Amino acid sequence: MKKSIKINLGGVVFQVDEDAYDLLRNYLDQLDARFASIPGRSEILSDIETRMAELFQGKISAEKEALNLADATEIIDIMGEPEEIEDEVPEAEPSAYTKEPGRRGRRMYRDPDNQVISGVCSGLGAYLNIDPVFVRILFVVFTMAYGTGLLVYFLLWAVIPEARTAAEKLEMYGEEVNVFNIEKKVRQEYRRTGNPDGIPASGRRRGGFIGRFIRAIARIILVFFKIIGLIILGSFAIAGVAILASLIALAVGGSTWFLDSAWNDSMFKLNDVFDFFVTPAGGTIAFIALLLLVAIPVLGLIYGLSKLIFRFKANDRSVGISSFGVWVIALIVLLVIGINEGMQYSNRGQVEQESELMIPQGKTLLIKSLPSPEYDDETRISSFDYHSEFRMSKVNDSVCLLIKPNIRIENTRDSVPGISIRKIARGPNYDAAKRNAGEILYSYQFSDTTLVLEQIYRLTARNRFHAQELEVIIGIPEGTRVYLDKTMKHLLYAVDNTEDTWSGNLAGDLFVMTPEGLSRVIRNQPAGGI
Amino acid sequence: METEKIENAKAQMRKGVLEYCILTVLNQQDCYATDILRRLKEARLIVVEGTLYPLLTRQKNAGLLSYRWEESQQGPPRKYYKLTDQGKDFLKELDSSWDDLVKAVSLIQHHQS
Repeated sequence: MKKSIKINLGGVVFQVDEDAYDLLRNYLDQLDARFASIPGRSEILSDIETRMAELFQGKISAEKEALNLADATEIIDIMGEPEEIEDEVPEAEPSAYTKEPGRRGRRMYRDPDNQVISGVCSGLGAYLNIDPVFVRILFVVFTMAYGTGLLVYFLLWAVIPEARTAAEKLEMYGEEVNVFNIEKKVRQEYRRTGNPDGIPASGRRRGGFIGRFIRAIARIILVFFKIIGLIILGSFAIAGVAILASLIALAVGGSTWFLDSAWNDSMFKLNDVFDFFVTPAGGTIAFIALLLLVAIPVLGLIYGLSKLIFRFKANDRSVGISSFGVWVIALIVLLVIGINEGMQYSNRGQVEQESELMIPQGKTLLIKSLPSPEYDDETRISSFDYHSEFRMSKVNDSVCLLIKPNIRIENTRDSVPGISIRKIARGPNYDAAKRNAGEILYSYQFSDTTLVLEQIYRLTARNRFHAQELEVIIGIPEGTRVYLDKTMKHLLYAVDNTEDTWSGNLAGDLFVMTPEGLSRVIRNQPAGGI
Repeated sequence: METEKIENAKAQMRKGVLEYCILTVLNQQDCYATDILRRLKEARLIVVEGTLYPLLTRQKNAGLLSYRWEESQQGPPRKYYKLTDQGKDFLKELDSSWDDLVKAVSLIQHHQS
């Protein structure tokens, strides 16, 4: 008894024996592969199928309804082997006459015909052209080395496909896959197993009871590993999607959680940030590149996972290669922009303005700070964290970067107090750095005995971020008395003093300059009492 | 090995004239693939039938041939091929170069030294 299959060839329906069907299937697949690179491949194939159908019609009659292996072989002989059908693959021709049998590349498969557990060892043996027994011994030896062999075995089991069809079994031994060999193989298996599929009946499997037992245990472990693997890959995919969603939200809405913490709240758009830290065009390109850099692997992962889960096959090689190309380009673009932006900070320049603070003999110098009059409450120094050096804000509807100046108080050898404003910035070269430094706007007022410092200086989008710093150095001669107002608390950065304390703690008291620095005169002296 | 070399040379020569002969057959009358195969087989120009189909498709894609579908009593509709005007011009060119070639070869063969 033989199983037969109904096929539609060139629009005509035939009954075909199963072995003949395998042969035809293989033949047409090979033709398809042969014509893969030429235009009109599907047309050629359908024409060939039509002709084969015509030839088959001559083979069937009322007495003989199904086509058998002999019919299929005869028709294939008439049509010719793929190598004989000369097409526009001229390179293949010379090799057809130079190739030697047995020298074709072998492919790695698990060999189900000689399996003890899963056919990994017999497949490896076939691939390496050695007796599988040696491979098995090797695995056992390595298993004694902390189970390495076992781990490798499961890995190979999961990765290497089983040789199911006759063509795959031929490839496993490096034999040429052609109609003649496939037919030979099918016949061989028929003789060996008694059925044309070449799949031994389950009772005939080798290895006996122990083999079956190990196989069952191993299957369970394998499924367990596969599930763990899927969970890990799945969580990667979910994390990737979250990052991607976040980036897209940033591009569309202009805001996302990871900027919220840095930029106070969501009142700033992405472009506001770009305006300060990168050239806007470069920023947009860099952002798109970043999006691609994240999106391509994430989508690839999701695609790969769904392919694994739903077990579909697709011709995605070209898509994969071009996506990888795009990914590499995105990476290069990002690097170029990054390096270019980095160059903007390669040189440091500074501008310094000094002036004297003339106070009447014997009077105390009062140092205090005020918010700049045109700023609103939002820009008061008290809205800064102790440790943050700058923050973004909106002043009169325009976005600006607010930066805290560093105030130093030092002992000076001059006879009168002095103030020095040191503006520092970076740029692509020294001149540009110096120019950037000069653009920092900062002022103070001095009258009689009172020095009033601005609490914050700001940068507008026009002068961008150039790693600006501002130091205010106040020099006090020995013996001069200084009152530090409470408003100086957050601004005092480095003050020479005898108490060795945090500079901010000095605010709100009266001091006198000594050779060791400021020395406290009276604690908690109200300012009005001087 | 010797016979293989001879077969190879024969196949190369056949391949060269096969396209020319397909056009010639179609110039005489419109045919479907099986007719063309019969003619080529009679002339022992073709060994395996599969060879024909890539050639037909290529010639069609090159604009030398066109085809129409015709119903058939025995089976599915048949594809009847026909030479286009471009194909006819092309064939004329081939005809004259074939004549030149035959003359050239016979000149070489019958050279008296």
